[in-house]
Amino acid sequence: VSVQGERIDDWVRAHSPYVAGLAYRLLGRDADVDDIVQDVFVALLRHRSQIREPGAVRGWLATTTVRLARKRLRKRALRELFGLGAHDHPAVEPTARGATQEEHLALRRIHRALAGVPANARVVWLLRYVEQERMEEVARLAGCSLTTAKRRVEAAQNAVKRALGQ
Amino acid sequence: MTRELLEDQLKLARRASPSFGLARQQQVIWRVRHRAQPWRPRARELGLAAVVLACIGLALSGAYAWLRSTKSESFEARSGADELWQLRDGSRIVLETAATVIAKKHESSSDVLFELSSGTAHFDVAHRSERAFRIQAGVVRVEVIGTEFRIERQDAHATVSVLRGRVRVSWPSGSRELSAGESGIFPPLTATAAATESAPSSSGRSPSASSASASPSSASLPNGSSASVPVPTRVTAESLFAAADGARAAGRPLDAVSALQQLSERFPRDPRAPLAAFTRGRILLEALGRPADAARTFAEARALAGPHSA
Repeated sequence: VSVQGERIDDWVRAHSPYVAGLAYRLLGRDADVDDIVQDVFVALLRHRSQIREPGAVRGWLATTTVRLARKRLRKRALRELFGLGAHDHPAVEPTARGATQEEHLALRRIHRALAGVPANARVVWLLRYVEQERMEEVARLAGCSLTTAKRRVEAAQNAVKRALGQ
Repeated sequence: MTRELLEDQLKLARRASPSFGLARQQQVIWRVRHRAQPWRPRARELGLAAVVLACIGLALSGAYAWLRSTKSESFEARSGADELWQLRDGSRIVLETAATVIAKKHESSSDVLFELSSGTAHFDVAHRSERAFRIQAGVVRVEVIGTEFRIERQDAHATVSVLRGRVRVSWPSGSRELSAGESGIFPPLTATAAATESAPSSSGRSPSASSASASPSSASLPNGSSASVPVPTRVTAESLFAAADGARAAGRPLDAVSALQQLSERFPRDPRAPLAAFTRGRILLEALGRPADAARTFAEARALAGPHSA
Protein backbone atom coordinates (compact mmCIF):
# COMPACT_ATOMS: atom_id res chain seq x y z
CA VAL A 1 0.00 0.00 0.00
CA SER A 2 1.77 3.11 -1.17
CA VAL A 3 1.34 6.67 -2.32
CA GLN A 4 3.83 8.28 -4.68
CA GLY A 5 6.04 5.25 -4.31
CA GLU A 6 6.20 5.60 -0.53
CA ARG A 7 4.52 3.21 1.85
CA ILE A 8 1.44 4.48 3.65
CA ASP A 9 3.22 3.80 6.95
CA ASP A 10 5.75 6.47 6.09
CA TRP A 11 3.06 8.94 5.12
CA VAL A 12 1.19 8.36 8.37
CA ARG A 13 4.34 8.73 10.46
CA ALA A 14 5.34 11.89 8.63
CA HIS A 15 2.03 13.70 8.53
CA SER A 16 -0.33 12.28 11.15
CA PRO A 17 0.80 14.67 13.96
CA TYR A 18 0.03 17.64 11.71
CA VAL A 19 -3.37 16.21 10.72
CA ALA A 20 -4.14 15.30 14.33
CA GLY A 21 -3.27 18.81 15.59
CA LEU A 22 -5.37 20.52 12.97
CA ALA A 23 -8.31 18.19 13.61
CA TYR A 24 -8.00 18.67 17.36
CA ARG A 25 -8.12 22.45 17.13
CA LEU A 26 -10.98 22.43 14.61
CA LEU A 27 -13.08 20.00 16.65
CA GLY A 28 -12.06 21.27 20.11
CA ARG A 29 -11.71 17.78 21.58
CA ASP A 30 -9.43 14.81 21.38
CA ALA A 31 -12.11 12.12 21.21
CA ASP A 32 -12.69 12.30 17.45
CA VAL A 33 -9.10 12.95 16.38
CA ASP A 34 -8.13 9.32 15.72
CA ASP A 35 -11.16 8.75 13.54
CA ILE A 36 -10.43 11.87 11.51
CA VAL A 37 -6.76 10.96 11.04
CA GLN A 38 -7.73 7.48 9.93
CA ASP A 39 -10.35 8.80 7.48
CA VAL A 40 -7.88 11.33 6.05
CA PHE A 41 -5.28 8.68 5.23
CA VAL A 42 -7.85 6.26 3.82
CA ALA A 43 -8.97 9.12 1.57
CA LEU A 44 -5.33 9.73 0.65
CA LEU A 45 -5.02 6.12 -0.50
CA ARG A 46 -8.23 6.29 -2.51
CA HIS A 47 -7.36 9.56 -4.20
CA ARG A 48 -3.62 9.10 -4.55
CA SER A 49 -3.85 9.63 -8.29
CA GLN A 50 -4.85 13.26 -7.64
CA ILE A 51 -1.53 14.02 -5.94
CA ARG A 52 1.03 14.71 -8.62
CA GLU A 53 4.01 15.74 -6.49
CA PRO A 54 5.03 14.98 -2.93
CA GLY A 55 5.01 18.66 -1.97
CA ALA A 56 1.27 18.85 -2.58
CA VAL A 57 0.46 16.17 -0.03
CA ARG A 58 0.38 18.47 2.98
CA GLY A 59 -2.05 20.88 1.33
CA TRP A 60 -4.24 17.98 0.23
CA LEU A 61 -4.22 16.55 3.75
CA ALA A 62 -5.17 19.93 5.22
CA THR A 63 -8.06 20.38 2.81
CA THR A 64 -9.34 16.88 3.52
CA THR A 65 -8.97 17.35 7.27
CA VAL A 66 -10.95 20.60 7.14
CA ARG A 67 -13.68 18.93 5.07
CA LEU A 68 -13.99 15.94 7.40
CA ALA A 69 -13.88 18.12 10.51
CA ARG A 70 -16.64 20.31 9.11
CA LYS A 71 -18.72 17.21 8.41
CA ARG A 72 -18.14 16.01 11.97
CA LEU A 73 -19.19 19.41 13.38
CA ARG A 74 -22.37 19.31 11.31
CA LYS A 75 -23.21 15.85 12.63
CA ARG A 76 -22.60 17.09 16.15
CA ALA A 77 -24.97 20.04 15.60
CA LEU A 78 -27.59 17.71 14.19
CA ARG A 79 -27.31 15.41 17.18
CA GLU A 80 -27.77 18.36 19.50
CA LEU A 81 -30.79 19.47 17.52
CA PHE A 82 -32.45 16.13 18.19
CA GLY A 83 -31.41 16.07 21.84
CA LEU A 84 -28.73 13.43 21.32
CA GLY A 85 -25.78 15.71 22.06
CA ALA A 86 -25.28 14.82 25.72
CA HIS A 87 -22.51 12.47 24.69
CA ASP A 88 -20.75 15.33 22.90
CA HIS A 89 -20.55 17.42 26.07
CA PRO A 90 -19.30 15.23 28.91
CA ALA A 91 -19.22 16.88 32.32
CA VAL A 92 -15.51 16.18 32.66
CA GLU A 93 -13.58 16.00 29.44
CA PRO A 94 -10.06 14.67 29.63
CA THR A 95 -7.31 16.94 28.49
CA ALA A 96 -5.81 15.96 25.18
CA ARG A 97 -2.66 13.92 25.49
CA GLY A 98 0.20 16.30 24.81
CA ALA A 99 -1.72 19.52 25.44
CA THR A 100 -1.48 21.36 28.74
CA GLN A 101 -4.52 21.96 30.88
CA GLU A 102 -4.44 25.70 30.09
CA GLU A 103 -4.19 25.16 26.36
CA HIS A 104 -7.02 22.66 26.38
CA LEU A 105 -9.26 24.91 28.49
CA ALA A 106 -8.53 27.90 26.24
CA LEU A 107 -9.52 25.86 23.20
CA ARG A 108 -12.68 24.68 24.95
CA ARG A 109 -13.62 28.28 25.84
CA ILE A 110 -13.20 29.34 22.23
CA HIS A 111 -15.34 26.46 21.02
CA ARG A 112 -17.97 27.28 23.63
CA ALA A 113 -17.98 30.87 22.34
CA LEU A 114 -18.54 29.45 18.85
CA ALA A 115 -21.46 27.29 20.00
CA GLY A 116 -24.43 27.89 17.75
CA VAL A 117 -22.26 29.16 14.90
CA PRO A 118 -22.80 27.07 11.74
CA ALA A 119 -20.03 24.59 10.96
CA ASN A 120 -19.00 26.47 7.80
CA ALA A 121 -18.47 29.75 9.66
CA ARG A 122 -16.88 28.07 12.66
CA VAL A 123 -14.28 26.32 10.52
CA VAL A 124 -13.23 29.43 8.59
CA TRP A 125 -12.97 31.46 11.80
CA LEU A 126 -10.77 28.80 13.41
CA LEU A 127 -8.60 28.64 10.29
CA ARG A 128 -8.25 32.40 10.32
CA TYR A 129 -7.66 33.10 14.03
CA VAL A 130 -6.39 29.86 15.51
CA GLU A 131 -4.47 28.47 12.55
CA GLN A 132 -3.61 32.04 11.48
CA GLU A 133 -4.00 31.29 7.81
CA ARG A 134 -4.29 34.09 5.26
CA MET A 135 -7.82 34.68 4.00
CA GLU A 136 -6.97 33.33 0.55
CA GLU A 137 -5.70 30.13 2.12
CA VAL A 138 -8.74 29.99 4.41
CA ALA A 139 -11.02 30.21 1.37
CA ARG A 140 -9.04 27.49 -0.43
CA LEU A 141 -9.07 25.14 2.54
CA ALA A 142 -12.77 25.73 3.18
CA GLY A 143 -13.60 25.28 -0.50
CA CYS A 144 -15.42 28.58 -0.88
CA SER A 145 -14.83 31.98 -2.45
CA LEU A 146 -12.83 34.67 -0.71
CA THR A 147 -15.94 36.84 -0.27
CA THR A 148 -17.88 33.98 1.28
CA ALA A 149 -14.99 33.17 3.57
CA LYS A 150 -14.79 36.80 4.74
CA ARG A 151 -18.52 36.93 5.36
CA ARG A 152 -18.42 33.74 7.39
CA VAL A 153 -15.45 34.90 9.42
CA GLU A 154 -17.25 38.12 10.26
CA ALA A 155 -20.42 36.29 11.31
CA ALA A 156 -18.45 33.96 13.55
CA GLN A 157 -16.41 36.85 14.96
CA ASN A 158 -19.58 38.64 16.01
CA ALA A 159 -20.81 35.49 17.74
CA VAL A 160 -17.51 35.14 19.59
CA LYS A 161 -17.59 38.77 20.71
CA ARG A 162 -21.12 38.40 21.98
CA ALA A 163 -20.20 35.25 23.86
CA LEU A 164 -17.10 36.76 25.48
CA GLY A 165 -18.91 40.00 26.30
CA GLN A 166 -21.38 38.09 28.38
CA MET B 1 -11.17 43.88 27.60
CA THR B 2 -12.94 41.40 25.45
CA ARG B 3 -10.30 41.68 22.76
CA GLU B 4 -7.47 41.07 25.23
CA LEU B 5 -9.22 38.09 26.72
CA LEU B 6 -9.78 36.65 23.28
CA GLU B 7 -6.14 37.18 22.30
CA ASP B 8 -4.97 35.42 25.46
CA GLN B 9 -7.21 32.48 24.79
CA LEU B 10 -6.14 32.32 21.16
CA LYS B 11 -2.45 32.29 22.08
CA LEU B 12 -2.99 29.32 24.32
CA ALA B 13 -5.28 27.55 21.87
CA ARG B 14 -2.79 27.89 19.01
CA ARG B 15 -0.28 25.89 21.00
CA ALA B 16 -2.78 23.16 21.81
CA SER B 17 -1.86 19.99 20.01
CA PRO B 18 -2.46 16.40 20.98
CA SER B 19 0.37 14.00 21.37
CA PHE B 20 0.25 11.73 18.38
CA GLY B 21 3.03 9.32 19.16
CA LEU B 22 4.08 6.04 17.64
CA ALA B 23 1.38 4.01 19.38
CA ARG B 24 -1.45 6.12 17.97
CA GLN B 25 0.23 6.27 14.58
CA GLN B 26 0.56 2.49 14.50
CA GLN B 27 -3.13 2.09 15.29
CA VAL B 28 -3.98 4.41 12.42
CA ILE B 29 -1.68 2.45 10.08
CA TRP B 30 -3.35 -0.86 10.96
CA ARG B 31 -6.81 0.55 10.47
CA VAL B 32 -5.92 2.23 7.19
CA ARG B 33 -4.34 -0.98 5.89
CA HIS B 34 -7.40 -2.96 6.93
CA ARG B 35 -9.78 -0.54 5.18
CA ALA B 36 -7.56 -0.39 2.09
CA GLN B 37 -8.01 -4.12 1.46
CA PRO B 38 -10.61 -4.91 -1.17
CA TRP B 39 -13.79 -6.20 0.36
CA ARG B 40 -14.33 -9.89 -0.14
CA PRO B 41 -17.52 -11.41 1.16
CA ARG B 42 -16.96 -14.38 3.39
CA ALA B 43 -19.12 -17.47 3.44
CA ARG B 44 -20.78 -16.34 6.65
CA GLU B 45 -21.65 -12.94 5.19
CA LEU B 46 -22.97 -14.56 2.03
CA GLY B 47 -25.14 -16.92 4.10
CA LEU B 48 -26.45 -14.03 6.14
CA ALA B 49 -27.25 -12.08 2.99
CA ALA B 50 -29.09 -15.11 1.57
CA VAL B 51 -31.15 -15.45 4.74
CA VAL B 52 -32.00 -11.75 4.71
CA LEU B 53 -33.02 -11.90 1.05
CA ALA B 54 -35.14 -14.99 1.69
CA CYS B 55 -36.88 -13.24 4.59
CA ILE B 56 -37.55 -10.18 2.44
CA GLY B 57 -38.93 -12.40 -0.33
CA LEU B 58 -41.21 -14.24 2.10
CA ALA B 59 -42.42 -10.99 3.58
CA LEU B 60 -43.14 -9.53 0.16
CA SER B 61 -44.98 -12.63 -1.05
CA GLY B 62 -46.99 -12.72 2.18
CA ALA B 63 -47.88 -9.07 1.83
CA TYR B 64 -48.90 -9.65 -1.78
CA ALA B 65 -51.10 -12.60 -0.85
CA TRP B 66 -52.68 -10.63 1.97
CA LEU B 67 -53.34 -7.66 -0.27
CA ARG B 68 -54.92 -9.94 -2.88
CA SER B 69 -57.10 -11.63 -0.28
CA THR B 70 -58.31 -8.36 1.20
CA LYS B 71 -58.54 -6.35 -1.96
CA SER B 72 -61.92 -4.73 -2.30
CA GLU B 73 -63.10 -3.52 -5.67
CA SER B 74 -66.40 -1.98 -6.41
CA PHE B 75 -68.34 -1.44 -9.58
CA GLU B 76 -71.37 0.68 -10.13
CA ALA B 77 -73.68 0.96 -13.11
CA ARG B 78 -73.84 4.57 -14.16
CA SER B 79 -76.53 4.39 -16.78
CA GLY B 80 -79.65 2.48 -17.54
CA ALA B 81 -77.83 0.32 -20.04
CA ASP B 82 -76.29 -3.00 -19.06
CA GLU B 83 -72.72 -2.71 -17.88
CA LEU B 84 -70.35 -5.60 -17.88
CA TRP B 85 -67.76 -6.49 -15.28
CA GLN B 86 -65.44 -9.11 -16.69
CA LEU B 87 -63.46 -10.99 -14.05
CA ARG B 88 -60.01 -12.45 -14.55
CA ASP B 89 -61.25 -16.04 -14.52
CA GLY B 90 -63.72 -15.39 -17.33
CA SER B 91 -66.74 -14.92 -15.10
CA ARG B 92 -69.00 -12.05 -16.09
CA ILE B 93 -71.27 -9.82 -14.03
CA VAL B 94 -73.83 -7.74 -15.89
CA LEU B 95 -75.26 -4.78 -13.98
CA GLU B 96 -78.77 -4.43 -15.27
CA THR B 97 -80.04 -1.29 -13.59
CA ALA B 98 -78.61 2.14 -12.99
CA ALA B 99 -78.87 1.75 -9.24
CA THR B 100 -76.82 -1.44 -9.12
CA VAL B 101 -73.90 -1.29 -6.72
CA ILE B 102 -71.73 -4.35 -6.28
CA ALA B 103 -68.38 -4.70 -4.57
CA LYS B 104 -65.82 -7.43 -4.34
CA LYS B 105 -65.22 -7.85 -0.62
CA HIS B 106 -62.80 -10.73 -0.58
CA GLU B 107 -60.84 -12.77 -3.06
CA SER B 108 -58.45 -15.62 -2.64
CA SER B 109 -57.59 -18.78 -4.54
CA SER B 110 -60.34 -20.69 -2.73
CA ASP B 111 -62.98 -18.08 -2.20
CA VAL B 112 -64.48 -14.95 -3.73
CA LEU B 113 -67.20 -12.87 -2.12
CA PHE B 114 -69.23 -10.07 -3.68
CA GLU B 115 -71.69 -7.82 -1.95
CA LEU B 116 -74.71 -6.60 -3.86
CA SER B 117 -75.80 -3.42 -2.10
CA SER B 118 -78.59 -2.46 -4.46
CA GLY B 119 -80.01 -3.04 -7.90
CA THR B 120 -79.97 -6.08 -10.12
CA ALA B 121 -77.04 -8.07 -11.43
CA HIS B 122 -76.69 -11.04 -13.71
CA PHE B 123 -73.90 -13.51 -13.00
CA ASP B 124 -72.28 -15.86 -15.46
CA VAL B 125 -69.76 -17.69 -13.33
CA ALA B 126 -66.91 -19.72 -14.78
CA HIS B 127 -66.87 -23.14 -13.21
CA ARG B 128 -63.96 -23.65 -10.84
CA SER B 129 -64.47 -26.56 -8.49
CA GLU B 130 -61.71 -25.45 -6.13
CA ARG B 131 -63.19 -21.99 -5.58
CA ALA B 132 -66.35 -20.89 -3.79
CA PHE B 133 -68.12 -17.99 -5.49
CA ARG B 134 -70.51 -16.23 -3.15
CA ILE B 135 -72.71 -13.17 -3.33
CA GLN B 136 -74.07 -11.45 -0.28
CA ALA B 137 -77.29 -9.49 -0.82
CA GLY B 138 -78.33 -8.20 2.60
CA VAL B 139 -78.94 -11.23 4.77
CA VAL B 140 -79.22 -13.48 1.74
CA ARG B 141 -76.13 -15.30 0.60
CA VAL B 142 -75.95 -17.07 -2.73
CA GLU B 143 -73.28 -19.69 -3.17
CA VAL B 144 -72.51 -20.66 -6.70
CA ILE B 145 -72.04 -24.23 -7.72
CA GLY B 146 -71.09 -23.35 -11.30
CA THR B 147 -73.90 -21.54 -12.99
CA GLU B 148 -75.52 -18.53 -14.57
CA PHE B 149 -78.05 -16.68 -12.52
CA ARG B 150 -79.46 -13.32 -11.63
CA ILE B 151 -80.00 -11.49 -8.36
CA GLU B 152 -82.30 -8.56 -7.85
CA ARG B 153 -81.82 -6.79 -4.56
CA GLN B 154 -84.93 -5.14 -3.09
CA ASP B 155 -84.39 -3.76 0.37
CA ALA B 156 -84.07 -6.70 2.74
CA HIS B 157 -85.04 -9.26 0.11
CA ALA B 158 -83.39 -10.60 -2.97
CA THR B 159 -84.92 -12.37 -5.93
CA VAL B 160 -82.67 -15.12 -7.26
CA SER B 161 -83.29 -16.61 -10.71
CA VAL B 162 -81.12 -19.45 -11.98
CA LEU B 163 -80.63 -19.71 -15.74
CA ARG B 164 -78.11 -22.52 -15.80
CA GLY B 165 -76.55 -24.84 -13.23
CA ARG B 166 -77.29 -24.68 -9.53
CA VAL B 167 -76.86 -22.27 -6.64
CA ARG B 168 -77.28 -22.54 -2.92
CA VAL B 169 -79.19 -19.66 -1.34
CA SER B 170 -78.94 -19.21 2.39
CA TRP B 171 -80.38 -16.70 4.80
CA PRO B 172 -80.30 -16.51 8.61
CA SER B 173 -83.07 -19.06 9.15
CA GLY B 174 -82.53 -21.48 6.31
CA SER B 175 -81.05 -22.37 2.97
CA ARG B 176 -82.08 -23.85 -0.30
CA GLU B 177 -80.64 -24.99 -3.60
CA LEU B 178 -82.05 -23.64 -6.83
CA SER B 179 -81.65 -25.39 -10.16
CA ALA B 180 -81.91 -24.05 -13.71
CA GLY B 181 -85.25 -22.41 -14.32
CA GLU B 182 -86.03 -21.90 -10.67
CA SER B 183 -86.30 -18.60 -8.91
CA GLY B 184 -87.40 -17.30 -5.56
CA ILE B 185 -87.56 -14.40 -3.16
CA PHE B 186 -85.35 -14.76 -0.12
CA PRO B 187 -85.71 -14.63 2.83
CA PRO B 188 -89.20 -16.05 2.33
CA LEU B 189 -91.97 -13.51 2.75
CA THR B 190 -94.64 -15.85 4.16
CA ALA B 191 -95.26 -19.54 4.16
CA THR B 192 -97.27 -19.27 1.00
CA ALA B 193 -95.85 -16.35 -0.95
CA ALA B 194 -92.26 -16.61 0.04
CA ALA B 195 -90.66 -17.99 -3.01
CA THR B 196 -92.09 -19.30 -6.17
CA GLU B 197 -90.55 -21.87 -8.33
CA SER B 198 -90.97 -22.97 -11.83
CA ALA B 199 -90.12 -26.59 -11.29
CA PRO B 200 -90.80 -28.98 -8.47
CA SER B 201 -87.24 -30.24 -8.39
CA SER B 202 -86.03 -28.12 -5.45
CA SER B 203 -84.43 -29.79 -2.51
CA GLY B 204 -83.41 -28.92 1.01
CA ARG B 205 -85.32 -26.83 3.46
CA SER B 206 -87.47 -25.08 0.97
CA PRO B 207 -89.13 -21.84 1.97
CA SER B 208 -91.62 -22.41 -0.78
CA ALA B 209 -92.60 -25.98 -0.11
CA SER B 210 -96.21 -24.97 -0.20
CA SER B 211 -95.83 -22.45 -2.96
CA ALA B 212 -97.09 -24.88 -5.57
CA SER B 213 -100.58 -24.19 -4.36
CA ALA B 214 -100.15 -20.45 -4.43
CA SER B 215 -101.12 -18.62 -7.51
CA PRO B 216 -99.42 -15.23 -7.61
CA SER B 217 -98.01 -14.39 -10.97
CA SER B 218 -95.49 -12.29 -9.14
CA ALA B 219 -94.57 -12.41 -5.47
CA SER B 220 -95.40 -9.36 -3.44
CA LEU B 221 -92.68 -7.60 -1.53
CA PRO B 222 -93.15 -5.89 1.83
CA ASN B 223 -92.94 -2.43 0.30
CA GLY B 224 -95.81 -3.13 -1.99
CA SER B 225 -93.80 -3.48 -5.16
CA SER B 226 -93.68 -6.71 -7.04
CA ALA B 227 -90.79 -8.96 -7.81
CA SER B 228 -89.52 -8.36 -11.29
CA VAL B 229 -89.30 -12.01 -12.18
CA PRO B 230 -92.85 -13.22 -12.22
CA VAL B 231 -92.79 -16.97 -12.35
CA PRO B 232 -96.08 -18.80 -12.63
CA THR B 233 -96.66 -21.71 -10.36
CA ARG B 234 -98.37 -23.72 -13.09
CA VAL B 235 -95.95 -23.55 -15.92
CA THR B 236 -97.15 -23.89 -19.48
CA ALA B 237 -95.53 -23.12 -22.79
CA GLU B 238 -98.00 -20.32 -23.25
CA SER B 239 -97.28 -18.75 -19.87
CA LEU B 240 -93.54 -18.94 -20.50
CA PHE B 241 -93.96 -17.31 -23.88
CA ALA B 242 -96.07 -14.59 -22.30
CA ALA B 243 -93.49 -14.07 -19.58
CA ALA B 244 -90.76 -13.78 -22.22
CA ASP B 245 -92.78 -11.25 -24.19
CA GLY B 246 -93.37 -9.24 -21.04
CA ALA B 247 -89.70 -9.28 -20.16
CA ARG B 248 -88.70 -8.16 -23.65
CA ALA B 249 -91.23 -5.34 -23.54
CA ALA B 250 -89.89 -4.28 -20.15
CA GLY B 251 -86.36 -4.19 -21.50
CA ARG B 252 -85.14 -7.24 -19.57
CA PRO B 253 -83.61 -9.46 -22.23
CA LEU B 254 -81.99 -11.86 -19.77
CA ASP B 255 -85.35 -12.69 -18.24
CA ALA B 256 -86.78 -13.22 -21.69
CA VAL B 257 -83.92 -15.59 -22.54
CA SER B 258 -84.49 -17.47 -19.30
CA ALA B 259 -88.19 -17.93 -19.96
CA LEU B 260 -87.65 -18.97 -23.59
CA GLN B 261 -84.94 -21.42 -22.57
CA GLN B 262 -87.31 -23.01 -20.08
CA LEU B 263 -89.89 -23.30 -22.79
CA SER B 264 -87.47 -25.07 -25.12
CA GLU B 265 -86.26 -27.42 -22.42
CA ARG B 266 -89.60 -28.27 -20.83
CA PHE B 267 -91.80 -28.34 -23.87
CA PRO B 268 -89.55 -29.43 -26.76
CA ARG B 269 -92.54 -30.93 -28.64
CA ASP B 270 -94.64 -27.83 -28.34
CA PRO B 271 -95.15 -26.18 -31.75
CA ARG B 272 -93.84 -22.93 -30.26
CA ALA B 273 -90.54 -24.47 -29.12
CA PRO B 274 -88.63 -23.77 -32.40
CA LEU B 275 -89.92 -20.20 -32.43
CA ALA B 276 -88.94 -19.80 -28.78
CA ALA B 277 -85.40 -21.00 -29.55
CA PHE B 278 -85.17 -18.75 -32.60
CA THR B 279 -86.41 -15.75 -30.59
CA ARG B 280 -83.90 -16.56 -27.86
CA GLY B 281 -81.13 -16.61 -30.47
CA ARG B 282 -82.16 -13.21 -31.75
CA ILE B 283 -82.16 -11.74 -28.26
CA LEU B 284 -78.75 -13.23 -27.57
CA LEU B 285 -77.42 -11.83 -30.81
CA GLU B 286 -79.03 -8.42 -30.89
CA ALA B 287 -79.75 -7.43 -27.31
CA LEU B 288 -77.01 -9.23 -25.41
CA GLY B 289 -74.22 -9.28 -28.00
CA ARG B 290 -73.42 -12.99 -27.58
CA PRO B 291 -73.09 -14.29 -31.16
CA ALA B 292 -71.60 -17.66 -30.20
CA ASP B 293 -74.50 -18.44 -27.87
CA ALA B 294 -76.89 -17.15 -30.54
CA ALA B 295 -75.42 -19.49 -33.15
CA ARG B 296 -75.87 -22.46 -30.84
CA THR B 297 -79.42 -21.41 -30.14
CA PHE B 298 -80.25 -21.06 -33.85
CA ALA B 299 -78.91 -24.59 -34.37
CA GLU B 300 -81.12 -25.72 -31.52
CA ALA B 301 -84.09 -24.02 -33.20
CA ARG B 302 -83.39 -25.92 -36.42
CA ALA B 303 -83.15 -29.18 -34.52
CA LEU B 304 -86.44 -28.53 -32.73
CA ALA B 305 -88.14 -27.65 -35.99
CA GLY B 306 -87.19 -31.03 -37.42
CA PRO B 307 -85.74 -32.12 -40.78
CA HIS B 308 -88.60 -30.65 -42.83
CA SER B 309 -87.75 -27.14 -41.65
CA ALA B 310 -84.79 -26.80 -43.97
